[in-house]
Amino acid sequence: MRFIPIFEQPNGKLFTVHYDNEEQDAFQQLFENWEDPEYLFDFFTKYEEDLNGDFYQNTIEEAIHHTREDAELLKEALLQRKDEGKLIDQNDFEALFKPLSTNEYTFKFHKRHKAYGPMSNSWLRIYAIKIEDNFIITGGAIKLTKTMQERPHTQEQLSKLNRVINELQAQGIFDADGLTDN
Amino acid sequence: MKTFSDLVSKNSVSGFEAAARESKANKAWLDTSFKIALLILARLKALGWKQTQLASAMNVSPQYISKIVRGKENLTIETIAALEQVLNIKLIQVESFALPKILVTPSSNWFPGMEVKVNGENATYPATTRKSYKPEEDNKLSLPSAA
Repeated sequence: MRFIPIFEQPNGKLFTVHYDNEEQDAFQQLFENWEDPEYLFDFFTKYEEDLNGDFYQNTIEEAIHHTREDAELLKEALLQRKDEGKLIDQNDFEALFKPLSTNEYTFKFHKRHKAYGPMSNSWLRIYAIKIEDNFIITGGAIKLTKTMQERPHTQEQLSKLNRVINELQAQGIFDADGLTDN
Repeated sequence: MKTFSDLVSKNSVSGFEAAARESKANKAWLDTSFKIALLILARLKALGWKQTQLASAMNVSPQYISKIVRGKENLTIETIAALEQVLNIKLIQVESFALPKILVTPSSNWFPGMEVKVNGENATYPATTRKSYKPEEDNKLSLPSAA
């Protein structure tokens, strides 16, 4: 896997992963999927039951349009921040990304984080590893269930988070400066 | 000691921004092609067809159909018409002129009582407007008087 910046800019804080054998990096792929009618149609047809489950009550068509609009808003917000030169504002990212779970404190380094889509009750998730003040986006998902373990596509995202942590550890990276906190 | 920045690929950046700016620039037609793609996908599902069957019926490649259902093809009217015919659905609707339509009423000095029929129905045409015309005002027209 390769680590690449999401934006071409000095002192950027956002990075993503380009996994081996993947045509696109993880961040680009997310938006490619969330704006792809075929991907969304197949996805919500497969998980139609979750659209009528405990958390959501939507038709497939509503879900598709909702997802695309949510992704577009997120995309537009990022482009706007980039154009305004505000993409290195640490406070923004701290507000955007939340710890993945309540017991994330058990991870001394490489804390796993998640961000939500901009629309209310958004089911979009972006997953990232935080190393000091950098966020490395490992992927994302349309999360329709309470836990990530309940569906294979969200379980896969958990696996990706852990794969990236393993890679960082294997490379001896424990925080942005390479310090091991000893 | 190795740091995270040592791991970051040099001269490489995510394709996100370029793709996002391109889709933003093409938003007008991408929005429409997205909706068309969904209509096609729903129709294929209802018919129980695979994309390859649609490709055969359209006499185009499966790759071309794949591009259409991913909303990435800037469709021509000819292709839309062919898709509508093969799938037997309406994909786009073009509005007519938004002029109000009126029933043609022959004026009293033009073949009184005649009804204009088109396909057996009273013909309608877009309403026209004209300034109010008062024949008596014609009498007021006169050449400028000589000085």
